Amino acid sequence: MQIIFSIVSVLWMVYAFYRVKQAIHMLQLNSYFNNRLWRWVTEHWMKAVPIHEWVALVLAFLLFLNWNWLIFVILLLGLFIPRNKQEKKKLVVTARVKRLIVTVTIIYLFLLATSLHFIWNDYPLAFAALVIVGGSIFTYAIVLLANFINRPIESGIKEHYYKDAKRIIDSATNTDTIGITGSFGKTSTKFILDTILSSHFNTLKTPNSFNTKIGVTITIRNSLKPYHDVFIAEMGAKEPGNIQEICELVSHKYAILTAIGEQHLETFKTIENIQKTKFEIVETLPADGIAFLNRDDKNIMSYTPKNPCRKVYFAIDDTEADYVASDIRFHNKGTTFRVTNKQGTLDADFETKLLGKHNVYNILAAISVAWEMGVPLSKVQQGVKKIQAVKHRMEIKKGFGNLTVIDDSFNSNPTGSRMALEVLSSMEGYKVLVTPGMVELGDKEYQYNKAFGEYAADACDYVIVVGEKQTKPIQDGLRGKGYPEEQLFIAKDLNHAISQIQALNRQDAIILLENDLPDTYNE
Amino acid sequence: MKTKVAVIFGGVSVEHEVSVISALQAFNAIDRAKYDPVPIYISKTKEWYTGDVLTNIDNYKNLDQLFKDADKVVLEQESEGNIVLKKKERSLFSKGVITTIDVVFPVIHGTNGEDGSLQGYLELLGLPYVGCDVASSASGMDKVMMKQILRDSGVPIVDYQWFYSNQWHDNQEEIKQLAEKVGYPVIVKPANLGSSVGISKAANEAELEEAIELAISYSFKVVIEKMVTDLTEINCSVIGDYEEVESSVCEQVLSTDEILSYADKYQSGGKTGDTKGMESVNRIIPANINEEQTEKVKELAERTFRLLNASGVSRIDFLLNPEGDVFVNEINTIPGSLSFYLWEPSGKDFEQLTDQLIQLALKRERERQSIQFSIDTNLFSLHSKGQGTKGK
Repeated sequence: MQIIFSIVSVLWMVYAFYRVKQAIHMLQLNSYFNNRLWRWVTEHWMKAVPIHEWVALVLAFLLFLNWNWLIFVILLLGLFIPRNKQEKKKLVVTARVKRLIVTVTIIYLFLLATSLHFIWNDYPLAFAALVIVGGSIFTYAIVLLANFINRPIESGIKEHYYKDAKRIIDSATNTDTIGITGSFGKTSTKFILDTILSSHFNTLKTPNSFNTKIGVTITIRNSLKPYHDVFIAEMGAKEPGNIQEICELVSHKYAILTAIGEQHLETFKTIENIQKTKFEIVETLPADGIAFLNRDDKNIMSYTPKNPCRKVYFAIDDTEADYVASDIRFHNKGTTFRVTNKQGTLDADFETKLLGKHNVYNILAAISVAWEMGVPLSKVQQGVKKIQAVKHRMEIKKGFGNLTVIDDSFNSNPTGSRMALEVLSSMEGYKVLVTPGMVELGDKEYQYNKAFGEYAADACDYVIVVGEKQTKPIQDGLRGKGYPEEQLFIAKDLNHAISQIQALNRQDAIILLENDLPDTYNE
Repeated sequence: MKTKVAVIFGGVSVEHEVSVISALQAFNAIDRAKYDPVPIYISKTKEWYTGDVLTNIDNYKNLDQLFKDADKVVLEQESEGNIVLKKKERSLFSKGVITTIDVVFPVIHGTNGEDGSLQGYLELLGLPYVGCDVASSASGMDKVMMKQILRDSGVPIVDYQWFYSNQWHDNQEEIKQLAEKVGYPVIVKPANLGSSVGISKAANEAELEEAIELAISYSFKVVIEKMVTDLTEINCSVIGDYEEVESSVCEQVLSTDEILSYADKYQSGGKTGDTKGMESVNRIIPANINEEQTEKVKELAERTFRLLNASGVSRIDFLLNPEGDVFVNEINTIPGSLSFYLWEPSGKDFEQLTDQLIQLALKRERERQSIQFSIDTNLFSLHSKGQGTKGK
């Protein structure tokens, strides 16, 4: 019996391994934050501790009553029933995960030793059983503990990475760093700036929306080459001090502040805190650094930076700015606009495939930087032309038989939708809106959709709503504005809408695909 | 932190020794403030070596000793996309990494280096490299392809015919007729060798046979070219890429014979071993031709460079007949001594030249990356979305 229990104990280690793997995977998905994993556990008790483990626990207690131990063993072996679940994002066995596994293994070996000690020293079998079952039930707790134990090591390693990145970037004396932050538009501005600057310089940028200190560190350690002339770092802030930390790491020479909005107001409490945090990017600039600031943004302008370094302002509305975009025109190929600077060294027209005023701001910021860095005009203009739209976000293309299509199907918020209509209404052509309406807006869903219908009534020559029932609010909005019935079409599904577009037979049509048009909305 | 530039030279080519000279000249010219050059020597037996001993030309006199002192190496891709130079023979506990490589600077003349094969290898590794890419290297090396591309765009070249060596074995009469068609005297060349190796002239049928026999020992593809008598040989170098090009001053090549022989080209001075490379050939810089001809040569040089989609520095060789007609003879996509002696009088010293070449390599690399990122899925997605709903 002792032998059987010993075998069970060892077999249990195998089971524990799978459970631990699961728990570490969850920890990884929660970015190694103990508090986040704990929250997940409290919300998903049944996943963290499977039901059969509770059964095993009960049986373990029953062993005190000298219940037949065989049943317990059989049930325990039942733990090995394979459970195949599809995982969206697999566990990535990083060095950190390996270190975590080592710590967890030590804890489990200790538990195994305890269990074996109970078994071979004639303690009641229930003792060993409880250790085994407890070790399973508390898998997540053990992983959390191991993560806690490893924390000093991990932060030491992180610190080493930071230092290493700092050493690399400090030795790259030919590389100038540009930092970009702002409540919105920073990722777009980063891509746009990279497109323009790479026509003239060897550039490196933080990929995707990598914008934390560790993200910047990884980019530097893996990708920064000595021949890079420019490093573009996007900097995000979850709390005050975040941006300053990144700035001190990269020692940037140029700073771009795109906009300051009320995003994350809950975490920052006041708009002043947000301003102060975002302005860390300016305050940390060296004396010969240059800050590029949006002069049309009231939250940027109401803050006075202490750093006396040079500030270059860009704007559309405020013509006092150093760089001003004017004559903005949206058309079926994108946007054209003119940029002039105060010094009088720049006065040129630019063309881009992108649409929308917000994109003009992003491009303008990038043009100002490129110009100050001495990129020749022809290269700036070519760079602006090369900028690619983000898929399904005000993306201009040809479709439905060579008609102009503005694909804004990834958009799902009221502000964005309204902006899309503004762009459409300023264009020349037969303006057609195709939309299934906005969803998942909570209580105000009806209200937002109705308002959207009202704007559409003013902006469009023809409206196709997809789905009879769900687009009721939009129809209400249109009818409320007295929109002519013959210019409204209610399609069953996207295909129905497409055939109606073709039936319109207008070669000058500009079709705005607004909001997501997936199959699920078919009625 | 400096950019690591691997200068690759030597190689399996008849111009092996010339490559060593050109490469060491370039190696020494590279700006040490910006770059950290690493020599990589490919022996005639295709083995790769690195080491400081390779940077001194005197060490090449005793190759056995050189191979002992240098390390056998390979280029290897690491997980993060970095390319490292590794020792081939490494001890048990060492990974054998010598250094990472950021850019490659190929200085190999002729086959296996100037013809696109090395470029293809670097392309697969994902390393940026100086000079022409695969296709333009290949078309610049194959004289037939080059002539076809140039003639197609109306660039003046001398009359020519070409054939495969087996055609010569099968039907000599047919080939002799080709030569008749071109008209004696002719020049017979192997199609894919640089330098002057295997080239000879033929004034009649008997000489033709001899010339062809020589040429086919170097290549399966042979060119018969109309010989320009009383010619003036002019060379002009071009630097740049498809967007921007710049041409150098012209040089006039003086030779005792009608054809600049291999010995003339690389061993002038007479003493074997005292090889100085291309810059020591008898030449006049700037060429002794009139301004109009100079302009014509420069214009044609730039056009040829762009037509072949060349990149980096090339030297385009011209033939001028006594009437003053200008013909493009050939392009060297990795010219001897990188034509630095033509750029110095044009106001660009060797250091600036190598710097510009490395920057051009980096420019091409970033342009390629931007192209790969911007592949459009475009309208199919829109339509399939529609058809998908239809099917349900």
